[in-house]
Amino acid sequence: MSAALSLRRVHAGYAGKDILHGVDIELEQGGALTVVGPNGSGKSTLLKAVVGLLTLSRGSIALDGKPVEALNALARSRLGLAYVPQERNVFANLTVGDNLRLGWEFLHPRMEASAWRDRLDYVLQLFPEIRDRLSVSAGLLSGGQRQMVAIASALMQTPSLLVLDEPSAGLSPRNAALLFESIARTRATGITLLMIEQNVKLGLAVADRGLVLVAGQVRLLAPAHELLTDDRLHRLYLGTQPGVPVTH
Amino acid sequence: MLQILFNGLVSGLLVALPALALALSFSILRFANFALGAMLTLGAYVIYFFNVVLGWPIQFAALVGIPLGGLIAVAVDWLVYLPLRGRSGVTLLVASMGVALVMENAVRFAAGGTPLGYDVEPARPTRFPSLDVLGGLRVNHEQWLIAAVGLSSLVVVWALFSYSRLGRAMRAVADNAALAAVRGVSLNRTVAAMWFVSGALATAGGLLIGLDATLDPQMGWNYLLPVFAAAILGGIDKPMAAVFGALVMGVASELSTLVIPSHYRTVVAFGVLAALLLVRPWGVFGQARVTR
Amino acid sequence: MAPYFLSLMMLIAIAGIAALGLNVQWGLTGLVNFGLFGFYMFAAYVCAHLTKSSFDPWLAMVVAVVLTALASACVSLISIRLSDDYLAIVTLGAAECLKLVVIHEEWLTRGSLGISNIARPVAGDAPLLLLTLALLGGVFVLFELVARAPLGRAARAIRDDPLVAATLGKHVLALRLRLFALGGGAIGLAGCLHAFYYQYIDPTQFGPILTAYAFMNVIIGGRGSNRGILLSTFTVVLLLEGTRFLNDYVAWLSSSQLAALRLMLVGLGLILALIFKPEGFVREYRLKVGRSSGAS
Repeated sequence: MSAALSLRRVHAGYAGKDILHGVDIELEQGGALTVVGPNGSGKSTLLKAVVGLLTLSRGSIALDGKPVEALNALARSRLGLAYVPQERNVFANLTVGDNLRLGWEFLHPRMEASAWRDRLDYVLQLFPEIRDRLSVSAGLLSGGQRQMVAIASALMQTPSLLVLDEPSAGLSPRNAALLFESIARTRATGITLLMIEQNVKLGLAVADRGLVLVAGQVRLLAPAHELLTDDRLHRLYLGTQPGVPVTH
Repeated sequence: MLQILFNGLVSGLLVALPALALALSFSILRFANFALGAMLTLGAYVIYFFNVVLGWPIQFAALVGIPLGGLIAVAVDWLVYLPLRGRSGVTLLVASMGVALVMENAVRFAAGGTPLGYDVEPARPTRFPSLDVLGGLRVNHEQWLIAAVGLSSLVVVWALFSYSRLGRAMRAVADNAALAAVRGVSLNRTVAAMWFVSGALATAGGLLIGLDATLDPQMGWNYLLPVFAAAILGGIDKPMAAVFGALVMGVASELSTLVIPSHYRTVVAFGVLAALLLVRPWGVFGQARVTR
Repeated sequence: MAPYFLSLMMLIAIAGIAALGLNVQWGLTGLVNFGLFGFYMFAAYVCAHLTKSSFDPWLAMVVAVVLTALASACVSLISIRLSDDYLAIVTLGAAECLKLVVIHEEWLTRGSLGISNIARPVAGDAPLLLLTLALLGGVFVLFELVARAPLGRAARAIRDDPLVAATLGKHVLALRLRLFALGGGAIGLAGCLHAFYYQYIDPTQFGPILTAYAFMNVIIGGRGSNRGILLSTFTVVLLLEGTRFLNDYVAWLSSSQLAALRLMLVGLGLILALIFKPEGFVREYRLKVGRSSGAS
């Protein structure tokens, strides 16, 4: 069985200047990989390249064994990739219900309109806090709930690969923890997950493996639980020793 | 007084359809379509062709002409605005001016400059004697048609916009086009659908204006200012709010004829526009944005 | 032949001055003036009115130009804080309203009858042409200096990078206002020369066609490039005026149809120029600082 996501010797960047220099990643079906690294290491660029918002200067990307480097974001979403950007990740002027429905209906165009409700029930079990907010305008929600709507909308696509860009960004520690409980529940459904996170502790807790990206190159790849206490991680990421809190 | 208010609402309906068309295209493509007036004119003349030249009853002419107007708008987008997609709003603005010139003068070329009229059965105006105490109300045949067509068009578009899949797509693209793309919404298809609705609305608007008065190549151009004022009054990024703006503009415009000669209606529209832009550019229902 | 050549040169020169004015407003500063014909008409009427009221034509011209610059400033103030779309509709609206006033307020403008027997600053067609060409040259030199001056560089920076504009705040507004007024003055000058040349003006001479011509000249000539604009004005006016000859050969089209056709060509020209040659034919002046930087 081919890998859910595979990057081979990927170089990518903006305005002719590469930020990623030869990245190789293999993510197996049902696996979960969290990418960490200092600011400016290219984590966002990596996600944009995977999702299709950026063209590669070199290398290849494959989804389920199918080469996708020439496809745009819309085409990749039709192949089962669901992306949750870091900012502006909900339709602020639409209700929560409309946001969720929209996640479903354009990627299941030939299914009955009512089928979306079954999926909705399933997704709301993973994100119970937004169950009673369906008729609220998404822009009026608190940061934490908005993130939940964002991820729930992506899940409505019944994706095979879920890509999250710093889900805890801007959230209080309590809300971040609540959000990651939902992410863990999602993870438990067997979906393949690729995430970048600044909050290393939370990010690695839901992952199988962790990857440290520094200056556009993969510097470390290890099982997630090992990585958290690995002193190499601390040196690469923060220049500190293990034992010093990594989260901020 | 009642008559003036009623006439104002009918005037407002005439402005409402094109104002809605303008707000739709602005909310999704973020540019002000100056060719809207010309689309009004072209649409009206297309229906005239079916109605008078081919001799069809006005209902059939409208039934065929309105979707045809929508298709013409989609074709224009494909030919002109699509190659310019991604360019600045100003470029699109000037391009729409070019489109307006071509459309309006195509009409002038084909049909000449003399005013024309639709072939509609004459009918006696309806009087409402019970309302005489309020000044009396007289509704003529054209006004019934305008009210019927206008209101039903608005209801159809509102239902489409609020409840249908396409409407959700349009609202999503207007809100956040990048996110819409990753959620599986095709920008090109949504834009094409939007132009179809916009063009159909403009054509219907042209029909109503032609019913209310006459057809001439300038008819749409003359409505540009009131239509813009209405859309801005409502809040140019909230399409349905444009209808509210139009009704207000219609009533204001009729009321103004009590004190100002009617040929200065455009000046009234401009006055409203200028006042709005100085005080509250996001209109009544729009979102307050940072000015630059 | 000579009188025809003379009138052609007059048309080119007047159109050139108006296009240079639009270039300052739009090419340099990014402000969309869809009401160009209104300011042109305003200047023509002010100039004509003053001249008929026994003002010296030179003085009338100066007053008209200054007033047009002020009027441009006032109109643009309404929407200068907002995005370009708004300025477009405001200028258009102002022009349309002004035209209505010109048509209906006969006590002021003689309405559709127009103002006739307008005196010229210099007698004779050829001297007037020389004056116009001299003014064209003067405007060209002035605007070239502006483009190279800090004022021009600032305008370009603001036009190209909205972030720069946002950080500069109030200074941007003052800058825009000044440049819009400067361009408006040139457009006004063109309007005065129009009045002097024809010696008779009425409302039918002024309409959105003038705006369209000016935009076409600026786009084809290359936004920001004054030299390019002079070149394109020459070509465009020549081509369009040339189509008047077709009247004789294309008898199966009435003159009003030919006029409509000509306008369709202008519209088409605008669209094609925007799609295929957005930079125009002559590149904009840019200060060369070694290797070109990314920002410009």
